[in-house]
Formats: sequence, structure tokens, C-alpha cells
Amino acid sequence: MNGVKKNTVAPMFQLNNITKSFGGGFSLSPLSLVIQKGETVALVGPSGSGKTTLLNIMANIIRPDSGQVIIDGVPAQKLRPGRELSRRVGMVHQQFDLVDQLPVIHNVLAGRLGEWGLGRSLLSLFIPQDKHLAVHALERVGLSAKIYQRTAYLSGGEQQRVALARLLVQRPAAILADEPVSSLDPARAEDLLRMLVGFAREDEQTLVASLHSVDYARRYFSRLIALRDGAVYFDLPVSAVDDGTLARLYDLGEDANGEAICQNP
Amino acid sequence: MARQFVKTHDRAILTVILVAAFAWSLSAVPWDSTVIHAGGKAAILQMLKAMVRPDLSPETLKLALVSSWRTLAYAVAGMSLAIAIALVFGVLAAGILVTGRGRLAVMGFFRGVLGFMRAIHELVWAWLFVAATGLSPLTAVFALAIPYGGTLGRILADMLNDVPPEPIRALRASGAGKLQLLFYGYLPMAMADMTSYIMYRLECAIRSATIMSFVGLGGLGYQIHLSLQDLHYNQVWTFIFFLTALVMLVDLWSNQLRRGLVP
Ligand SMILES: Nc1ncnc2c1ncn2[C@@H]1O[C@H](COP(=O)(O)OP(=O)(O)OP(=O)(O)O)[C@@H](O)[C@H]1O
Ligand SMILES: [Mg+2]
Repeated sequence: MNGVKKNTVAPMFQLNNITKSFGGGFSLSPLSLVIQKGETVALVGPSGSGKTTLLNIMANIIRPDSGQVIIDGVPAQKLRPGRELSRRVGMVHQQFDLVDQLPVIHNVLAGRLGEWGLGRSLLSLFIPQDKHLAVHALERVGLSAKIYQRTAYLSGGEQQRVALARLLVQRPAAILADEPVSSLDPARAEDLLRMLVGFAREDEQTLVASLHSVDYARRYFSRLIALRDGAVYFDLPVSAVDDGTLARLYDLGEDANGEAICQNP
Repeated sequence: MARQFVKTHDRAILTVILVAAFAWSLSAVPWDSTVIHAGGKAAILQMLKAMVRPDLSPETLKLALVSSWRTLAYAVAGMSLAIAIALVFGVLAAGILVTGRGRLAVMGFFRGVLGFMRAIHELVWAWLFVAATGLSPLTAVFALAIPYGGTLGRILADMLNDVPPEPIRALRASGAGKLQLLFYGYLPMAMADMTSYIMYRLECAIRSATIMSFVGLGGLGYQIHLSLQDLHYNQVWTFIFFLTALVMLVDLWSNQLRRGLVP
């Protein structure tokens, strides 16, 4: 998938000179990126470097102060919330993205809300609609036994998999994941990453995930984008990333506005 | 400098002011024999004596049972109507159904309506209704439902606003519209707290319904009123014990409900 269709298919994400500043002094400096359909990209960088901000901009959750965000060929500000957006982009967060009080099945089926009208959504709370989709998604993440459990009773790792099942039901063209594994133990983290990347490849989805572990980033993803102080520090295929570069990325002593190594791969 | 001091110690300052106000209020009470009036001691003794010998004759028990039922019916009917009012007005006052320029206006308007409803005490509503429509069970129900709806609606609006934003954002990202957000996010998340608050208010509603029946609407309060007038303290205690039992029953019921709801 990668690269081959570059000229015939619109990129999944295209960011042109976006900026975003917050009161606290942080700002995303003019930043440009292109992510093609089907790529698996890891977003790395020190805490506070702007990973979450960038993902939220790509998910159209927050708007940049200036610059252009084009999602699947459509300018982001033209994508109305609801179905138009949910078919293109889905997002998983580190935690807290499920409704604890609902049974697992409704949290999974929430991935269909963009497709359902209000009547069907309400009916589904009593008689689950499109139940086979939820059952199948929960089988894929290995949680079929918990389908009617109240979500709050699940462990953190299980909740993360429920969030993943919701995405499987939603089937967006691109998955954005903000630190999807930082609350999991190493074994579960690897499990979840393997699933996330595996599903994205199977369903030909684009995947962009922010990670604190460079090790995971290198093992599971094909491209690494490093942020530092709101700017792209490097953007390289995983094979071109060496330990020295990574050490410099996280080196606290270095000059804050260290030169970007490579803007465009 | 001074402003900084006030800012960092605002809680401590408020506490000092409140404690001082309380201490002052104690000094304002004339602590002499006038706190309890002269004939009061005898009456109190009489009442205490009656407490251990409540009137348990079949007629009184039957009357107490019927009155308890009536009081409970007023309270439950009033609360049901209050919940309906609170759901509609609370959701609108929380401003989760409207976005954009009109949002603050809608929020302000419905918060104002809720404020008006609860600013007036249920007894006053009862007097107003009795003046307008005469004595009827509906009077009691509406008199209760309006201020309680005002309070519940305000609390519901606050709870909806305090719901954690992350699950809501995730639902929105899954394509949920405003009403879908309400039923899949806001209401399920606010439901447990809201239910225990409603059960607590139901206790209050029973007390209010009791007081309200002094106005002449029937029920436990009315019976207590009559027995007090006739100085039948034994009967008064029977009714008070029934009232206590009623409140305790509601408490049991609410514990039962809460166990099923809290994760
Ligand atoms: N809504 C906001 N208001 C003010 N400042 C914000 C807001 N969101 C983010 N920031 C600031 O922007 C900076 C970048 O935040 P961001 O969450 O994007 O970093 P991050 O790379 O995801 O960090 P981490 O790895 O710790 O999650 C931080 O300094 C943060 O304090
Ligand atoms: Mg972050």
C-alpha cells in the first residue's frame, strides 16, 4: 500500500504550516506533514512536545490557529462532526474514553452512532442493534466473555481493548491513538500494539500512534515522526532511525531549538 | 500584596468569618428562662410520657396507615412530576443540546426558570394553588413538584456539566450527535449520582408533604395537627412513628437501588 498510490490517491492527512499556541507559552510552530493511506506512523518525543495536540488537530477535535488540515482530500473545517468525520478518523486515548456505567456491548456499539439515527440508537440500548458487529469485534480483541459486563468492572487493559473493539465497529479510514499503551504492563502493551497494528494492516487503515517507548515505535511501526518543542525534530522511515538521533531527541541538556534533522523523508 | 494574601487564603478567611458569625449568633440568644416558656416544662413532660405509650388502638393505627399512604402518594407523585420537569429543564439548562451563539442564552434562560421555581417554598406554592384552585390532591402534587423540579433540575444540570469530558469527546469522535451523546454519555454517567440524590430528595418530599398537609390537604401532617389541637399526645406519637417508619423505608429502598447502580 505504502507509497505506491501516492499519485493517484489523496493522502490520508496533509498538514500545511499549521500553528497552535496555548496561553502557557507552548506553541506548535509552523508544521507540515503528509501521511499516506495505509501508513503506520509512530509519533514520539519528550513529554509536552505537542504529540497530543497534533493528534487532536488531526482528529479535528481542536482547530489549529492557522494553516490547513486536509483529511482524505477534504479540508478539515468542511468535515461536519458526525458520520462524515467518523468514517474517516477514529481516535483512542490513553484512558477514560469509555462510558463506565454502560455494559461493554453498548460501548462497542457506540462505534455505530455515526451511522444510526436517534431512534435506532435508543432502541439499541434495549435491544442491541447490529449485534453481530459487536460480537465479532469483541472476538477479535479476545473479550467475547465480557460482552454484558458493566465496563467499569473491567481492568485497564480490558477497557483499552473495548475501545479498540469500538474502533473495529466504527471502521474509520484512519486510526489515531494517543499513548494507547502507557497504562498497560509490558506484556499487555505488546499485545495491544500487535492487535492495533495488525488490525490496521488487515483493514487497510492508516494508523498514527503517539508512544513514549521508542522501542515499541521501532518494532511495530514503519515510520517515525519525532516532535520536540512543537516542531518536527525528525521524520524518518524506521530503518533510518539510529540510536544517536534518538538519544538527542530526549536529551534534556541540548539546546531547546535544536536543528530539525529531516523534515521530509 | 493584600490581594495575593486573600487569594491564597480565601478558604481560611471564609471559615474564620463563618465561625465568627456563628459565635455572634450564640450571644444573640437570650440565655435565660425565656428560651423555654413557663408552662412549657409541664407540656414537654407530658409529651415525653406519651412517647412511650403511643396510641395503638385499631382505629388510630388504621388512620395512621391511610394517612401515611396518602403522604407517600403525594410525595411520590410530586417527585415523579419533579423528575420529568428536571429532565427537560435540567438538560436544557446544562446547555448540552445547543452549541454556538444561542447556547449561553438558552442556558441562562432555563437556569433562570429553575431558579424561580425553587426560590419559592413549596408551602407558598401550596397557598398560591389553594387560593387559585381550592383544596385538591393535585394542588399538593403541583406545589411539591415545582420547587422540587427546580432543585432537581439545577442539580441535574450541574451533574451533566461535571461529567468527565473524555468519554463524551470519544463518543463524538465516533459520530454521535447531541441527543445520542445525551443518551449514551451524559445520562448514563450522571444516573448513579442522580438516583441517590433523587432518593434523598424523596425523603425531603415526604417531610414536605407532611408539613403541607397542615394546610389542610390531608395526610400525616394533618392528623398530627388535629391530635395536637386536641392534646392527644399519644396519638401524635403514633403518627410521628409512622412518619419515621416511612422515611426509614425510603432510606432502605434507596440503599437497595444504589447498590444496583454504583459501579
Ligand atoms: N488546552 C490547553 N490549554 C493550555 N495549554 C495546553 C492545552 N493543551 C496542551 N497544552 C500545553 O501544550 C503543551 C503540549 O501538550 P501536549 O499534550 O500536546 O504534549 P504531549 O507531547 O502529548 O505530552 P505528553 O507526552 O506528556 O502527553 C504542553 O505544555 C501543555 O501544557
Ligand atoms: Mg499527550
